[in-house]
Amino acid sequence: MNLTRDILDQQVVDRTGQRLGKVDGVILELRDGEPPRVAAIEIGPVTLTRRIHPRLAEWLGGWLRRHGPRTDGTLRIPWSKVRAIGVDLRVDLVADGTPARAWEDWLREHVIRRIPGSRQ
Amino acid sequence: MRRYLEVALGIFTSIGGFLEVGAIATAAQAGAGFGFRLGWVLVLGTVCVIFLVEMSGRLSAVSKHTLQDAMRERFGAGFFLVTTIPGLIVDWLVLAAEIGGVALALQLVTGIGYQWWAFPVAIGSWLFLWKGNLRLVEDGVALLGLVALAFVVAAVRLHPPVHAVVAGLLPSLPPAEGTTYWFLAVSILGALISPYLFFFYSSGAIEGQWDENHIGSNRFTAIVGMSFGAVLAFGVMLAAALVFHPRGIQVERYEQVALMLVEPLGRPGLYLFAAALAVTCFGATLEVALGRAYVFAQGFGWNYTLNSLPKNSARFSLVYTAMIGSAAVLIALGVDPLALTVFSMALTAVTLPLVTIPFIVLMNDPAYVGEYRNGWIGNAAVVGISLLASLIALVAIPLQLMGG
Amino acid sequence: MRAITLAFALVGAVLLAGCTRSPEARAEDARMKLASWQATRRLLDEQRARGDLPEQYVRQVMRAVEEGRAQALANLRAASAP
Repeated sequence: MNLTRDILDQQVVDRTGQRLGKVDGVILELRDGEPPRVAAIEIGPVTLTRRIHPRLAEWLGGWLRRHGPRTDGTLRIPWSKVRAIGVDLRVDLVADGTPARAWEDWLREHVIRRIPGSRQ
Repeated sequence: MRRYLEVALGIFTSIGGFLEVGAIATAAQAGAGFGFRLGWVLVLGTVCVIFLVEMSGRLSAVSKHTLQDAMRERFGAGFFLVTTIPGLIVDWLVLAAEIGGVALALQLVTGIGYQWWAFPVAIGSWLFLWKGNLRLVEDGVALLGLVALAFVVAAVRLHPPVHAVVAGLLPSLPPAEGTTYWFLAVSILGALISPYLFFFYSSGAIEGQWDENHIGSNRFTAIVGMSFGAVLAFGVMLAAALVFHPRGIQVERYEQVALMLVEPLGRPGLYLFAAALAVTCFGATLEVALGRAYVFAQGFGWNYTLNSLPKNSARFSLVYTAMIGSAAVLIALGVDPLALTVFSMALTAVTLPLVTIPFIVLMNDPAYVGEYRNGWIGNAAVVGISLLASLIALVAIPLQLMGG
Repeated sequence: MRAITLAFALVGAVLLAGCTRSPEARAEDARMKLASWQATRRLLDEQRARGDLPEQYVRQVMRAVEEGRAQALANLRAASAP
C-alpha cells in the first residue's frame, strides 16, 4: 500500500456516508527494528497547512481556536477505525460531534440559520 | 425523461459555460475588428472544449470522483493549494464580469445604470442557488437560453457571404494589426475554454449520480452541447462582422453591440440582445459561483450538494454566497463591464495549463478511469490542448500589455 | 526550480520590452477609435430614423459615443505631445 497514493489526500467518509474531510496528514508510529506503522490519519486545516508552511499553520490554528467554535478542527482517527480503502476511506465513526464538523456546525447555527430561507 | 434531462445539462453547460459574457464580448470584438478571419479560433476553442468536457464527464462517471477530488487525491494538497488560489482570483473576476453582463442587459432595457443593478442581480442569483436545486439551475437556464438563437437568426438575415465565412474557418495570419489579432484570439480561447466549466460539469455528473452507463450520453452532450454553443457564438461573430466591420466600428461598449441585432431584426433586436445577454450571463453567474464552491468543498473534503437545504452544506453554501456578494461590489463600484470581461478572459487563459495538464495523467490512470482510458486520439488531443494552453498562458499578459 | 523561474522572468522581460507602443501607433489607434465612434453615431442615427430604437437606449449610446470620443481625443493628444 502506497501511503501518499492510497491514503493521503483521499476523501474520508463516515459510517453514514457523510463526508468528513480529506486525509490531511498521516501519523506514523516508529518502532525499533521494525518498519513504521500507520497509527492514525488526521483531518484538519492546520494539518493541511503544516504541509505547506509550519508557521502559517501555527497562526491558522491560533486564529481558529480564538473564533467560532474555538477549536482548530483537527480530528485524529486511529487506524483501527478505518474500515475500507477504495474510492473513499470509510471509517467507523459518526461525523457529528467530531472536531472535523465543528466549524460546519458552528457556521450552520450562527450564520446560515440567520439567513432567511435556509430551513424550508 | 432522464435522458432528456441529461441532454439539458449538456446544453445548459454550453449556454452558461460556453456562451456567456466573455464569448459574446470577444466574438463581437473579433467580428467587428477582423470580420470572419478569427472564425478558426472559435472552431479551435470548440474542439478543445468538447474534448475536455467529455473527459471531465467520463472521469466522474467511472471514478465517482469529481475533477477537483481527483486532482487533490492524485497530485496532493500542495498542488491543490497552489492551483486553487489563482483559480479563485480569476473566477472572482469572471463572476464580476458575468454579473456585470446581466446588469448591463437590464440597463439597456430600463435606462437605469448598470451599477444600480449589481446588487439586485447578485441577490437574484444567490436566491436561485439558495432555494433551488441543480436540476432547476440546469433546465431553467437551458430553456431560457434558447433566446440566444437570436444571434444566429440575425446573422442569417444579414446574408453572410459563404465563401468568406468558410475561408475564415481556416487559420490565417493577421492583415496588419498583429497584436490585437492575437490578443483577441487568446481572449476567445480563454473565454471558451474556462476551467470553471469543467469543475461544474464534473460536479454535476456526481450530483446526478452518473456511472459507466452514462459514458455514451456524456459523449453526446459534450459534442452536441458544445457545438450548439459554438453555433451561437459564431452567430455573434458573424453579426458583428456584417454590421460593424464594414462600417469600421470597433466594439468598446456593450451599448454598441445591441445595434448589431437591431440592424437585421428591428426594434425587437434590442430586447432580444438584452435577453440573450441577461440569460447567458445569469447562467454563467450561477455556474462560476457554484464551480468555485464545488472546488473548495471537494478540495477540502466538505459536504456539498445543491440538492438539499443550504443548512446541510454550510461551508459550501457560504462560499458561493460570499463569492457572489463580493464580486457584485466591483460592478456596483462602476468597473467597466466590457473591460473587465476582456481582462478576465485573458487571465483565464493564463490559468488554463494548471487544469488541462492534470487530465493527461488522470485520463490514463486505471485507478480513476478503469478500462475507459484515453485512446491515442484522446491523448493526442489533451497533450495538444495542454501545449496550446501553455503557449497562450505565456503570451496572454504580454499581449494585453501591448495594447490589446 | 530557481532556473525555471529565472527563465520565465527573462522571457517575460524580453516580451515586456517590446510592449510599449510607439507614439505613432498609439495616435493611429486613437484616430481609428474616433472614426469608430463617428461610425457608431451614424449607425445609431440611421436606426433611430427608422423608428427602431427607444429614446432611453438612444441616450445611452450617445453617452457612450461622447465618452468614447473624449477618451480617444485624450489619447490622441497624449500621443502627439512630445
